[in-house]
Amino acid sequence: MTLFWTTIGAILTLSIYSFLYKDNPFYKFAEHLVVGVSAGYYLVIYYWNYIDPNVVTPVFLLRVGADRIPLLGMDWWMALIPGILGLLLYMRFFPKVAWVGRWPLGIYVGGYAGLGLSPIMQARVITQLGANALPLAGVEDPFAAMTNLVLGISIFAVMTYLFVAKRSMGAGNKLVRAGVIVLAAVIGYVGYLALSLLSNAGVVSLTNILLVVGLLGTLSYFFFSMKHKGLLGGLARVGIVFLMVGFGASFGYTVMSRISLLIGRVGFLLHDWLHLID
Amino acid sequence: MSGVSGFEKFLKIDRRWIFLAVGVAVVIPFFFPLGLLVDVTPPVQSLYDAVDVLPPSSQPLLLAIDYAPATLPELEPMALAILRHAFSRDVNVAVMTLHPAGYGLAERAGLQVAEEYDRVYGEDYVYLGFQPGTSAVILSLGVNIRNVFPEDAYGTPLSEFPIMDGIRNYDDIPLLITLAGWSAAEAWVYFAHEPFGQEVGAGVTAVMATDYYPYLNTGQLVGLLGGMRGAAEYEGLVGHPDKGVRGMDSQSIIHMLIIALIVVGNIAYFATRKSKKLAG
Amino acid sequence: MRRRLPLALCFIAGIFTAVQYFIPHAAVQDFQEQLLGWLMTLLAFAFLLGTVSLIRLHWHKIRNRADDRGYSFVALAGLTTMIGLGLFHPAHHSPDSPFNVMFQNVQVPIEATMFSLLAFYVASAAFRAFRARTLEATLLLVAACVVMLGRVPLGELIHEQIPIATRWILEVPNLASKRGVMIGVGLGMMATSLKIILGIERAWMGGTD
Repeated sequence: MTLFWTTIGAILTLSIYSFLYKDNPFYKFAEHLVVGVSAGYYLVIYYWNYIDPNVVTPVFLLRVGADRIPLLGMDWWMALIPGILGLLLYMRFFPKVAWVGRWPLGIYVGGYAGLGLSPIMQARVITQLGANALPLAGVEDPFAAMTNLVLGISIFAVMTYLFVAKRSMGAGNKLVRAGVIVLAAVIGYVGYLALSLLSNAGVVSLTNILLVVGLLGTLSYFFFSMKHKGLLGGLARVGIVFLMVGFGASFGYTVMSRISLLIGRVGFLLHDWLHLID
Repeated sequence: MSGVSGFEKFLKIDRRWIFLAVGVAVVIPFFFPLGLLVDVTPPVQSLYDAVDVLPPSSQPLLLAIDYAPATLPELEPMALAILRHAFSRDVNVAVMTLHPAGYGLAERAGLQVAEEYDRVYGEDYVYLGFQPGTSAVILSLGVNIRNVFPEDAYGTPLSEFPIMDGIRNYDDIPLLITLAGWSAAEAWVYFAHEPFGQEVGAGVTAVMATDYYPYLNTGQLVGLLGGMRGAAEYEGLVGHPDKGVRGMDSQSIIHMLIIALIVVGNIAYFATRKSKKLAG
Repeated sequence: MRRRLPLALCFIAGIFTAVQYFIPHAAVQDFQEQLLGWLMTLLAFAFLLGTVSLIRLHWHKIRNRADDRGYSFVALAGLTTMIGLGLFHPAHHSPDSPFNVMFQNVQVPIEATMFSLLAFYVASAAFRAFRARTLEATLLLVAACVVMLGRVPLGELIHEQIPIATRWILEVPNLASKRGVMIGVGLGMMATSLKIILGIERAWMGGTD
C-alpha cells in the first residue's frame, strides 16, 4: 500500500517536472488536481479545527456538556455574533446586498490593523533603532569597534537612500523643514558617534534624543521627499552600495533555497520511491 | 567573426540544456557522496544551545511547525533535528501550527520522531493542531493557551495531558521555535516576543534568512536556522545526520555550476559586446 | 449604512485593539480576548470564501463548455473527494485516514515539486540575465558568489577565508541594509495601518457606492 501511494507521489512529481521540457497535459492535470485537493484539505482543516468547535458546536448546542470546550469559553450567543458576521461576508455573492459584507470586513481589517500597530513599531522600529546605537568606546577589540562604526554609518546611509533620494518632488517650505529634520538627525548621529568615541557617559540620554530625532527624520519621508545631492546625496550613494551587497547576499541565499527544494524532491525519487540510495 | 558568432550562439542555447545540467549536478552526488563536513555557524549554535539548556521532563518547548509542502525540503529536516534533540534529552514538546497545510506536516514530524525515541503521547509530547488568525492566535496564547487550544488536535481536553499540567501561557514556555516559510516567523517576534517577552527561535527558508539577521542581532531571535544548510548544521550538532547533511553535497556541486554559469555568461556577453563595438 | 457603518466599525475595532495594550483593566482585557476570537472566526469564514470562489470559477468553465473544462473537472473532483473524505469519513482524524493519505501523497509531492522548478529557472537566469554591467550590479554578483561559496562545504575547502567573508557580508553590510529596509517598511506598515483605521485608506471596501 505504501509503495502504491509513493508511486502515485512519484508520478505526480515527474508530471510536474515534465513542464521543463514543455507545457503538456500531465503537468496541467497535476496542477489542477492540486488546486482542488489543497482547497478541499484547507476547508476540512478549518472546519474541524475551528468552525466546528467554536461556531457550530456552541451555536447549535451540539454535544452539550460533552468533550468539546468552545474557544475562549464562549457562550453560545457570544459565538453567534462572529458566526453571523462571518456569514455576512458571503453576501458579496449577491450583488444587491453585497455592501452588507463590508460590516464584518470593517471589523476584520480595522482589528488586525490595530493589533499590529504597537508590536510592529516596537519590533521593527524602536528595537532596531536602539540596536543601531552601538558603543564604540569601551570596546576592547578594535575590530569590533570598527564594525560598530561601519554598521552605524551604513544603516544610516541605507535609510538615507531609501527615504531621501528615492523620489524628488517640487520644493517648498515643507521640503526645507524636512531637510532640517533629516540634517538634524545626521548631525545628531555623527555627534553621537564622536561622543561615544570619547566615553560611554551621556550616550544613554543621547540615544533617547536620537531615537526621537531619527524617527522624525525618517518619518519625514512619508510626507515629503527631496533632491538627491550634497551630503545627503553622498550618504545615499553609500546606502546603495550597502543595499547592493545586501541584495547580493539575498540572491545567494535565494539560489540556495531553490536548489534545496530540488534536492529534496530528487531525494524523494531516489530514496523513498526507488530505494536506489541509503 | 566565427569566434564572436560562437559566443552569440552560445548565449542563445536552448535553456533545456541548462536544465539538464542542473538535473545531472543534483543527481550525481547522491550516488557518489563527497562526504564533506559542515561547519557550524553562530546562529545555529545559539539555537542549539537554547534547546540544550531546557530542563528535562519539565515545561515544554513550544514547536510551531508553520510550514507548508512548498518549503518542506528546507524546513522538515529542521523540525526532525530539533525534535530529536529535545527527545534525546527528555525535553517535553508541544507541537502546533499556524498554517492549515502545516496540520498534516506537523503531525507526521511529531509521530516519526516520537516513535524513534519511544515518547509517550500526552506525557512527553502533545499535538495541539491548527488555529487560524496568526497574530490573534499568538496574542491569545499569551493570555491562556486553553483560549486557543482548549483541546489537542484530536479533541481531547488539555487537562487530560500530564505534559500540560500547570502550563498556562508564555510564562510557562521556556522557549518557542517557529519553522516557517512565510511571515509567521516575524509574527512570533511581533506578538509573542515584544508584548510578552517570550524567547523565540526560528528556522526559515534560505530566501528569508538574510532578512532575519536584524532580529538575530538584537536578540529578538535567540537563534536562526537558514534553509537546508541550517538544518544540516543542526543535524551535525545533534549527531544524527539526515536529509540536510545528505543534501549538502548536491548543494555544493550546484552552487559551483551556477557560479560557473554566471562567469561564463558574463565572459560571453562582454566578448560579444566588445566585438560589436569593434564592428560598429 | 453602506459606507459610514463599515468605516465606523473599522475605526472602533482598530482603535480598541491598538489601545488595549496600554490598558491592563480586566474588563478591557476580557473584551480583547473575545475580540481575538471574533477575528479568528472572521478569518476562518473569509478563508472559506476563497473556496466558494474557486468552485464558482470552475463551475462556470464547465457550464460554458470552455475548451479546458476537463481540467476543471479534475479540480472539482479533487475538491469534492477531499471534502468527502475529510468531513464524512468516520476515521478522518486518524493519521492513517484516506484524507491524510491523499494529502501526504498528492498535495505534498505536487506542491513541493512545483516550487522546486524554480531551481532550474534560477540557473537559467544566472546564465542569461546576471551581467556585471555597472558597479552596483558587480557588487551584487560578487557578494552573491561569495555567499554561495561560503555556505557550502566545498567553498570552505577551496579557501578557509571564504566562510569568514560570508559571515562578514551577512553580519555587517547585509545586516545594515536589511535593518534600514526593516525600519522603513515598519514605518510604512504603521502608516498604512493608521490610514486604514482612520478611514483614509478605503481600498478594502471595494466598489464606489
